[in-house]
Amino acid sequence: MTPVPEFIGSVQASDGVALVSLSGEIDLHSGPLLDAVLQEALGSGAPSVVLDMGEVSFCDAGGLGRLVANAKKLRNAGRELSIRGAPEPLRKLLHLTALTQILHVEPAMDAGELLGADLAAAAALPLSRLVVDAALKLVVVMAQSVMDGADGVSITLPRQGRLRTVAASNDVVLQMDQDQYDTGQGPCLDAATHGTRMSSPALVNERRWPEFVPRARARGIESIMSTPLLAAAAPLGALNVYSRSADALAAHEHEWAVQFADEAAGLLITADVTATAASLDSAISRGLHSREVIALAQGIVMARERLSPDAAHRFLIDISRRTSRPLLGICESLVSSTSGHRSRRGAPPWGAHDAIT
Amino acid sequence: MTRSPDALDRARQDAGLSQHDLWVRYFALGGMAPPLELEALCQGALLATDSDMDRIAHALNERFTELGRNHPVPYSQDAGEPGDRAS
Repeated sequence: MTPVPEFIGSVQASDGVALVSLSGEIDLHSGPLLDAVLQEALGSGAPSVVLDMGEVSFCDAGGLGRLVANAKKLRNAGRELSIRGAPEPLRKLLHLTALTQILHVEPAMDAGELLGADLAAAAALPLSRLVVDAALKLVVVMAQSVMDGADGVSITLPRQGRLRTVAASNDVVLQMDQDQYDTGQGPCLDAATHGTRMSSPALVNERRWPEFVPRARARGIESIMSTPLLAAAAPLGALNVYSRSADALAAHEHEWAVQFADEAAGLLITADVTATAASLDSAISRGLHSREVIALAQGIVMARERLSPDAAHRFLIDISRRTSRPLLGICESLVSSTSGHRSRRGAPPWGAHDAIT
Repeated sequence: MTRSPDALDRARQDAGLSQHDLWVRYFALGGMAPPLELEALCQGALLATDSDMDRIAHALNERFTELGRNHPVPYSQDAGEPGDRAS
């Protein structure tokens, strides 16, 4: 018995719009099926192709690559590809990889569409170092696939105190980056260090990096553009685009490089925040426990001493100050003695008001 | 003699705490201000309420106690200068 394919695609063309309904998983296995259904939509001649991805449960990098390739075909033919109903995780992925610059992603239908399971899944999207590196690789692959003039794209970041290539679309760019690290010069180092865009449209005329340029040309590279990844104007690294011909990048591709660099910087900033949040977790948990105990103790003091919340808090701080014991310790003693010695009402655990003046 | 507006921030530096460390301690003592606001309170850019002032002072003083020093940071109802009782 043949297993039912998980991916299903169908095309309906009317009023100049080819509506492609997709469902299931887009992966290595179903990729050719996606190509076939997109081919059918292209063949319909409709000026606008709309992909309804509301029922797509998963889309891998290969699937995204196929979408981009087809969007380019359509754009070159003066037609348009839009994505409708993308589930939030996919929407987030399209955004993270800057594909929203290339593919027209229709906004969510209404707030309700954003709520529920999709939103929960998007919020839970983990951004560990490994995930960030994988997403950066996706960014460079996508950048290369959408920029006709790019023969290789890489991202340089400081790691363990020196600049390293964390994502490269092919081996040549990896070697090109390494040449810059070895010679201590090159556009990628300057962009990553100074935060300014370094463009060298014709290496044959380039005089700025005398040791690096001959190595680059020996590898067949004739033009380079390095765009800084910026966080509040401070450089985080650089996105480097290498080309085998001079003046390879069109003006709009310069802008795309900035968009990709911005997306990569956004990923790094988010990841930093996530990492900080993870290390904060235990501190916050302890903090929450401490607040709870202090609030309980404050309540006890308010009831016993007939004090306002602020005065009760001051009262407890005063004891902590005079005894040089941490406030949390004082409050823990008070709470546990109160709950454990109900019969000793009237005898405050801090003693007969000896700490209070 | 009046206290310098950033006295709390100076005390924080003296206690060897980062702004983040101080916020975590302040939060544990029941403080409600978010980190940036706490920074502004310590710098004197915002005026702390008495209870916030006491939480910040106490968070700092608990740290000074850990360091074997007395409670150099004054509370809202103290008249003294910061550093008066520093060891």
